[in-house]
Amino acid sequence: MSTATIDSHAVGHHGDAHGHHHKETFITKYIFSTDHKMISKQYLITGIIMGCLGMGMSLLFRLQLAWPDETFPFLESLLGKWAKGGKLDPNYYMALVTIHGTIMVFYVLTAGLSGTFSNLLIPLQCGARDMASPFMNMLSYWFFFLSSVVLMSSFFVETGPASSGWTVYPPLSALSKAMPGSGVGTTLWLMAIVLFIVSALLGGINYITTVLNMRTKGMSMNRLPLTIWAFFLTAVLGLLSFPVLLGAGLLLIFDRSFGTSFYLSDIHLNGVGALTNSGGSPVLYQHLFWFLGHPEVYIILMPALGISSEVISTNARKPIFGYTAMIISLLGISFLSFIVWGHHMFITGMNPFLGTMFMYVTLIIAVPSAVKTFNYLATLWKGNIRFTPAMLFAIGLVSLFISGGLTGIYLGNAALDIQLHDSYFVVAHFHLVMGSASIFGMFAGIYHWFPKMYGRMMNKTLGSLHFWLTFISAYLVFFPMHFMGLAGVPRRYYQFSLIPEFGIWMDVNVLITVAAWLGGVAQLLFIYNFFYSIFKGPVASTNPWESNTLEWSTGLKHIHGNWEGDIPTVYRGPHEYSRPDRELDYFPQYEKGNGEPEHYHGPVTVADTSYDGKKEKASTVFFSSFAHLFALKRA
Amino acid sequence: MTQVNMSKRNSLFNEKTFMVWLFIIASSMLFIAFSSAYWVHMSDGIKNNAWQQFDLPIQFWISTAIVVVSSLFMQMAYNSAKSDDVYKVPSLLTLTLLLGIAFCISQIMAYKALINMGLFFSNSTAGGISASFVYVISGVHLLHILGGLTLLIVAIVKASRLEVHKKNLVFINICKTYWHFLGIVWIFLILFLYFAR
Amino acid sequence: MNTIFKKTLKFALALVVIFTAATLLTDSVDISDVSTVHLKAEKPWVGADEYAYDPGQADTPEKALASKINWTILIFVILMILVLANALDISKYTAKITGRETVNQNNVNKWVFLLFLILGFAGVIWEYINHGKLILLNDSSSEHGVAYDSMFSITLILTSIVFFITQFLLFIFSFLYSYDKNRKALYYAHNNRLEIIWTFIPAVVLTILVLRGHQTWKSVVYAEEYHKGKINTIEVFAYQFGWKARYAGQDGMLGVADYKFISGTNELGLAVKSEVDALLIELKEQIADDQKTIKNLNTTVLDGLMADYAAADGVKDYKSMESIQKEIDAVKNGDRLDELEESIERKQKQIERILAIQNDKKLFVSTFTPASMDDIIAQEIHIAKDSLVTFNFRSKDIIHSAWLPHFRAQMNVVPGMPTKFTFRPTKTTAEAKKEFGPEFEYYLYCNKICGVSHFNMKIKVVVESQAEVDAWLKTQQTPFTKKPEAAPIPAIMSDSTQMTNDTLKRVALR
Repeated sequence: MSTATIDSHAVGHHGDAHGHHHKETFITKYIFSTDHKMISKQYLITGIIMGCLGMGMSLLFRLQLAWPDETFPFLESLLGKWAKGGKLDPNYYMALVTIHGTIMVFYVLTAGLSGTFSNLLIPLQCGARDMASPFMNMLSYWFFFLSSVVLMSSFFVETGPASSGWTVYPPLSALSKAMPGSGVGTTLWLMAIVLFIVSALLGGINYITTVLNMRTKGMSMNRLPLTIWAFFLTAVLGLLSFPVLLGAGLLLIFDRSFGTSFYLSDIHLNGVGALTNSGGSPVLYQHLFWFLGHPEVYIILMPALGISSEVISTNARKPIFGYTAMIISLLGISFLSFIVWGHHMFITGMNPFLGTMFMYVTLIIAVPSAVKTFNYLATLWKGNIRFTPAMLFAIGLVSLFISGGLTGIYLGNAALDIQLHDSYFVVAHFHLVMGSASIFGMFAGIYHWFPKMYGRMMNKTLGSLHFWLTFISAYLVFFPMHFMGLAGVPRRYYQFSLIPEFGIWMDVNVLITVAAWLGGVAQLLFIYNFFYSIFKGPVASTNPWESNTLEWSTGLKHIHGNWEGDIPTVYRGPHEYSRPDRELDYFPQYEKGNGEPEHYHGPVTVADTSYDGKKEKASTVFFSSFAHLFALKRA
Repeated sequence: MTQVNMSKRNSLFNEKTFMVWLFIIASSMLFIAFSSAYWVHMSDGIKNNAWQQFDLPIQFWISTAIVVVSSLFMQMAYNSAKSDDVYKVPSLLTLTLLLGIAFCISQIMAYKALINMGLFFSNSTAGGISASFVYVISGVHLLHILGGLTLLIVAIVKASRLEVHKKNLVFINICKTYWHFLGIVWIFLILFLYFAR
Repeated sequence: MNTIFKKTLKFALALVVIFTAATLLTDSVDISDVSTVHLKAEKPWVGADEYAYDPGQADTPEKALASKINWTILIFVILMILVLANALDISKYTAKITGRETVNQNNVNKWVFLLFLILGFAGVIWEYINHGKLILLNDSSSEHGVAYDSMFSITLILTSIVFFITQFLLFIFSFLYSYDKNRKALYYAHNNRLEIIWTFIPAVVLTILVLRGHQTWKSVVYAEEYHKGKINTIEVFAYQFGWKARYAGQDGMLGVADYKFISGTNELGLAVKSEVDALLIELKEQIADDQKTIKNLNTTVLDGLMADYAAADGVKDYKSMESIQKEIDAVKNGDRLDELEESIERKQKQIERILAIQNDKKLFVSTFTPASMDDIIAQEIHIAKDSLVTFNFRSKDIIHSAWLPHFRAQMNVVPGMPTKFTFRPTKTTAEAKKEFGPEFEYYLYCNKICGVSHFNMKIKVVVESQAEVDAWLKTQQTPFTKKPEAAPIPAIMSDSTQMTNDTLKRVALR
């Protein structure tokens, strides 16, 4: 067993971790559970399923891009009328692109990543028994689940799913006559997103409250693990930006279904004629959308950065370099993310002066991002690095974050964006920095906290193999795309063979598709490893990675309330690895040292809330109350 | 062995009230989004001569008065609870609730007045978006009011069971905060719609 | 012992499968042809002509071969992964039995990191050299493109330096400091001076980039102020799925155009009195037709559909039976009625709006000017070298985006919101052909997702001398100079949609 090299204290827990008798029924334990650990697992599994679907879609449309002249009979048996004769329908291509984007951005990287690990780690790493409102937490998951179902159901409507891109810009998305997907498909898309926003807000309110209110003794804000800081700021971003998307979505719903003209004006549609709408502005939607859209990028990325900070520090056996600087840069990124949305719209004909302002603030974001990168490098320097699968993915994240982040400097520059906007360069940029990097953060989290979630270890060999294949395929897929974009290849094209100039990229398209399929196959290793290990993996020890943070002090078996006894007190920061004054190379937060100051904030004493006066029947009180009010009766 | 006393936990402040504040922040963002969308449309519309100006119907101003008075009653109810004058609380809350319902009715009358003025939610008048926006903004506010009314009903039931008193102010505090928020939002919106047109 | 036996068996089986697959595939594929395939692919693909492509051309044996090879590679890779996984598993079992680890994973990963660093850098440099040749850089065909290219080069150089340094450090640290149980990591939590330095340096570099970017941006978006003088204004009109160019006629002025005036004979909606009057009559006729249909909806219309259905049933034409059934349903559940009423309302509104313009004296005079009478409508954009050109963009239906990559120009085309882009072309098509190859043409592409034929929405742009442009303009249509004869109005049909469907059909037939 490969983990044995690291596990110096294997604790005598055996297969009976789940054998305890609980009073809960199957439904309260596994379905409508209010336990944050179970909800986190539900988020994770749903996220993985959605991730497979999203990735599957990308593999299908990559086939079309690589071999536009081939037919794939299996597509017809899979998609029916949308791939007659094994050739993907252009409308369906658009639909796949759209739903792939939606799933990856919202369902996998927002809910699957931040939902899973916020739920798992906020209570455990803060030292809380559960979330502030476990019930709301459960609602949050079920809204998310419902939203996923609604989104996927759009594949079964006659006109197909939403297909105007994951940004669903009106007027295209508002007019069902403009493209078939803008009919029922987009209605379902909008419903799904409204449900998703409700879920995100319920979750976010919970996360913020828990972090601020329910930390254990000694866990001051400057002793919080960076994961929690990242989740906390992510939740704040979500709380402030999702309502704006809700507003944008509502106005779009009104335009689509009630004949208003918020986004529509001066339109003459083929086969319909001049529409009556006048006075609307399609660009307004873009402003509202990107006011969410840009913070959303950081909603996706920041949890991944938080996870990688924790994983890198633990496995490099070094304190994270510049803990305070890391927090300040997270704060800076969060703040700036709200005032940069216009860089998605440089060429919409917006006021050039506004463009300049947006360019300034956008490029400033590169500074905190650079600080984070350098701090990661400094953490690795002279470390004692254990290449657990989680660590591999965290290092991969840093590499992808650098590669993708640097191209952001091009795109944030208004002048360069004139040419690069909506080209393959953009596709390469955001897939590296926000797609792949965040997915790598998610994998790092899964490999690192799998023992916490399921009490068993995942296979390390398969993990490493999974990492290397995914890493190589990520670079093979996205690196050449930069050059395609720079050569003037536009994104969201169904095929390039109609434009002779793009012919030279046909073999690159083939390479990308083959690499993408390789990446897809690599995920099968993960899926196998994940589900096999849930049931048959070797039983983990309580602190398999010899980590400092509180979640490893709870013992293996999951109980509602996390700690059987009192919640441990915290004595120091989360990253005290390899302290020179200690023999062991880690020093858990909950272990009392010599002469360390004991930060303390006491729990509020629970007051007796019963009423001192006499008890009466409610109806009597209600009616006599009016008499009291008009001073007819004295209490 | 697996039974943990969940009530014994760390808590710096009352989390329920805090969550309501977070909700208030989130829904403020929604109203900010709508009003800035309105603002952008207006400045574009006036430039292109495509912006319909109209006087807000008087019913909206009546609603404003109602909302102010209901907020006063809400505050009185809270003060009574705080000073343990528990027998006054249910009636004051009921008055708040009735005024809340009156507010809804007044809003609906305002919509009727708008329709009589020929200003429809869905219209194809040049610059008719101003009317659509009035409907959307006040409509979303009305949805929030419905939520507030639900809270008030629960509060009345609790108060009648003598569960709202000096030592147990959490729920009425939430009601008060939320209800005042709705009042303030409405006053902001009506002034915004009055001055920006 | 049993498990290890099973594992080995599986391993052997996988090897046999791979071997068989390899022999089978090498039999059908002559690997020696691979080189020719790649040589072919490197050249610009000549098989496509301007508007349609011939699927027969695409199906060359080389292409089929290339795809076969790719599939083979994929299958090989999958099998290799399985074998590798099995092999590692076996080593795990042997480790269990023999009691010591055969492979130190930490060491393996460390070396793979080093390998990845070397191969990765090699790959990146290969990409820079090979595909770097193909990117649009230092070959701009417009004046501001030169400034753009230098801005791009500066950014490219700076980011590449950062890229190589940071990636190198990341992987080399991973290689150098891998786990050693006899060593302890350096306890080094922060260093303020270091952190200030690496906050400050990016800040300075970015300031330089921002200032340069600001200059470039200003020179592009305020081009008209930068270059005083005569500007040739051309209207570029976007619709699902194509572009049209409109030139001013003799008077040098573009006339007014409005989406409300668009009709079958007036595709751009120019304000031409006779056309608009014809449109009004047409709309009124359509309304009358619709009203008649509503009246007879449940009688003759339904009966007609039923008869059609029966006829289709007679010849077993299931496809049209299905579509007729849908229409019948729409009539029965009232959808058709709603549709017709909506359509009438829409047309009445359009008439009302047109009349509002016609009846307002001031508006009438400012709208129906003679300027629109002699406007030229073209299927290509011809612009003169070294002249300052402004494209005024107008969209008929939804958002499109006009991208001219060789001119480093792009602007969204938004319905109801006029946009424009001003630039100066500096290279004629003939000159560009010398540089990029004989098949080269400038194109304006659509670069905002706009529907089913988005990928085929382009218009040819020709840069030539002013004299050539003038000569070309003379050959182009000026649809309204003379009052056209009353012609039957063709149905508004997007020709490129039609084309795509045809193409797809042909592809499907193969």
